[in-house]
Amino acid sequence: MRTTKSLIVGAAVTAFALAFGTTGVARADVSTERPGSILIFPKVVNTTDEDTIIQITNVNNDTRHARCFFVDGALTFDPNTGLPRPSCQESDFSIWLTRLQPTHWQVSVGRRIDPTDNFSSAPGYPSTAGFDPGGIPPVGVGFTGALICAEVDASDKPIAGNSLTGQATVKNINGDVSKYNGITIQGITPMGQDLSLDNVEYNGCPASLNLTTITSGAPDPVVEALSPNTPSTVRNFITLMPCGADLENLVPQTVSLQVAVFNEFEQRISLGGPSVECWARLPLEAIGGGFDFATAGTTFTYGTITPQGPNAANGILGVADSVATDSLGNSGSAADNLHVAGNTDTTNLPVVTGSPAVIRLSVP
Amino acid sequence: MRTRKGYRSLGTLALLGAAAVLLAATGVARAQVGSDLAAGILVFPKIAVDTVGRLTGGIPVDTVVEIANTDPTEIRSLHCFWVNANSYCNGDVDIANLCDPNSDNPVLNCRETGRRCLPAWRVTDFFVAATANQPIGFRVGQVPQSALPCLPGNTNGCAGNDGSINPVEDPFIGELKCVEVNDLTNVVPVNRNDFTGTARIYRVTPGSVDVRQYNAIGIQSIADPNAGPNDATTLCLGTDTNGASPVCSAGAEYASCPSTLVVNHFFEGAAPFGDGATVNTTLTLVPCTERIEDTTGVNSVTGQQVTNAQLAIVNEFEQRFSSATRVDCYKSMRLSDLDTRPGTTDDGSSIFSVGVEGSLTGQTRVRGVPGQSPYHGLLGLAEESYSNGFSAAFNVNYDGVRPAGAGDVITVP
Repeated sequence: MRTTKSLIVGAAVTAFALAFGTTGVARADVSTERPGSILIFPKVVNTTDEDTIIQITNVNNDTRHARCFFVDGALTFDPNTGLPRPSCQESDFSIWLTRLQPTHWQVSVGRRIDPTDNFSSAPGYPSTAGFDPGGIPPVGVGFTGALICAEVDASDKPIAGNSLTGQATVKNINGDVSKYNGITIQGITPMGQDLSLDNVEYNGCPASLNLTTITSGAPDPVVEALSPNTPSTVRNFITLMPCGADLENLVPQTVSLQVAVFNEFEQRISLGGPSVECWARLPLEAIGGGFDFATAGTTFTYGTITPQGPNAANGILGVADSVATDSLGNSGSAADNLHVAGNTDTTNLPVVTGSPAVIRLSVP
Repeated sequence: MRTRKGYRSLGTLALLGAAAVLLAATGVARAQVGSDLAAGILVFPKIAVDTVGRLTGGIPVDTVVEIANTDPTEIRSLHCFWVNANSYCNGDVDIANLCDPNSDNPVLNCRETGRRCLPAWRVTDFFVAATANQPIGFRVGQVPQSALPCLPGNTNGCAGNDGSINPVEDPFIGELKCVEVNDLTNVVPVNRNDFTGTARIYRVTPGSVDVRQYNAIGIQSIADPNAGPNDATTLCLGTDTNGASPVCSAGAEYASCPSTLVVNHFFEGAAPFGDGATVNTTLTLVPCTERIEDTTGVNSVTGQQVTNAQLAIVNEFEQRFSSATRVDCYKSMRLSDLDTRPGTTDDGSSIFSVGVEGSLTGQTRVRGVPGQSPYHGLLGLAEESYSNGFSAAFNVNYDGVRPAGAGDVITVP
């Protein structure tokens, strides 16, 4: 028979479990600033024109371990259809970071385990001095894709340590740099190699992404005003990838998008959108014609990108970048983390139906 | 003596208490400070205008601000404040006395004339309304500002395009803060989170274009949007239990500021890509607590709480260093100047120098102290400038939130 004491204890335990458990759920979030248990860099490139430096930092006071996966989004020809599609090939490695340790590597070079490497700023020899987090392979020339890191314990079991933050710096052949924050997904109660973004194991993907930008093809307001080299123009690009990924079976995930674009006159200029399989970097106007100046008619546009259809639950993540160019071809680029709105537990936005996105890690 | 029924009541009370904690925690936890979220307060930590390059070595500088109303159905309004952090020799506000406290050039820092370069915090405000899903963008250095766009004859809500952008003086260095309000007539802060923002800072010469971009930091309102307006003049970012602000003792209106800013950066003078281009990082810190109630533009930020920012630096060898700096109304300087004299002369001895640290990257954790007292929250932005003339900006990371009772207060007119 249940005693009075046990009733009270049970109630108290339930109370605390309810309070703290649910608080944990509510705190979980996709973020570009808060540390998380999954860290995603949507745009990682090593081409003849561009290279990328990845910075990852452990904000925890304990040593942390993560499994990381390069996902190659470069197009290859599908042998079955003869059509180009992303290979979605993954290559993975592990990193260990001591308490509060930052680390970095240039993706074209990787990082060897070499306790004797020293500090060098000599041209062609980027420094890798510091505790090596583990052997990090380089990616080949032509790599255009993403990097996904998941925090795990010593036995490679995913954990909700929420210890990782990071930045990616992309430098082009002209020496121009752009930088964005890695996207973190906070862990709650991971249960295995399938990382469910369901607000139970990890936070859900955003219900939509949005961005405000200088319209593609529009004259740049500052270059027009301050430079003698006019007319100028702005070009925008967006890198998109589904939240879900099958890194075990290399099955590319696909998500269909609805893109709504608004100009400064409050006119909705376009409504449509592409499907993204695995990874894509596109001119912004390619996902929504309203982002084109000739169509929008105003210097600034605002757009929302919302997963739709039966694969909407795969979710979408991304990063944008823009290039302002004067009439002589001098240009400057900048990267922009996209804004996010809601996720599957948000009440004031349409709830994404269907199974939640899953990042399936390969068996270690 | 407590009866069995009483024990049952105790259990029920515990459950009810848990539910209350749950609701409170959920409500608080949902509101966050973040640069990727629509919010009720937007903070642009750095706005820079110097169209003739008076303080920037002759290189023209300007900023484009972009704001969007993410509400798909309604007109939403903002009350915005330019926080002018320009400095002047001996604080004499006159364009002839303009100076740069971060310079070691005796002309630019007033020492040539035996004076000190002192900031003169001034605030001016403006109002804008945006129709549903409307983007607004403007070049900050444009004088006068253009009217907000509206199609001639448009009757589809365009009348909501009230307000106008108040231009800034040129040069201008400082901050832009915007608070969502109910309308442009009553101007009362509301429990809504409808706005996002982005800023692009340019340096343009006849032979180059450089642009860097960051997202405005959003401070989300906590309460139910239907719960009515917030306090008209006191915006409570978290709770304040020291009694100085009775409104904020009663409860939070907005999310608390982060307890720690985390800046992942290259050390000063590093050549990250190994191509000879070296990098320096400028850190901009703005206080979460700010008295911007006087918008006359005449030394109007008074009684500003000074915050000691404690800096803990960890390099790739897990070696830890520390330093500190003071933040009153605005601070924007290169990392290597945080612990050495302004300018480049002694950068090599800074703890942020790559030569001192011996590794390429570091994590710097910035914390306002005392951490348990209200009014010491900070927000920040990082910018990297390369020796080849290009630059990049990024929002700094956060770790934790200010504890209950150690909130911040923004006072508006």
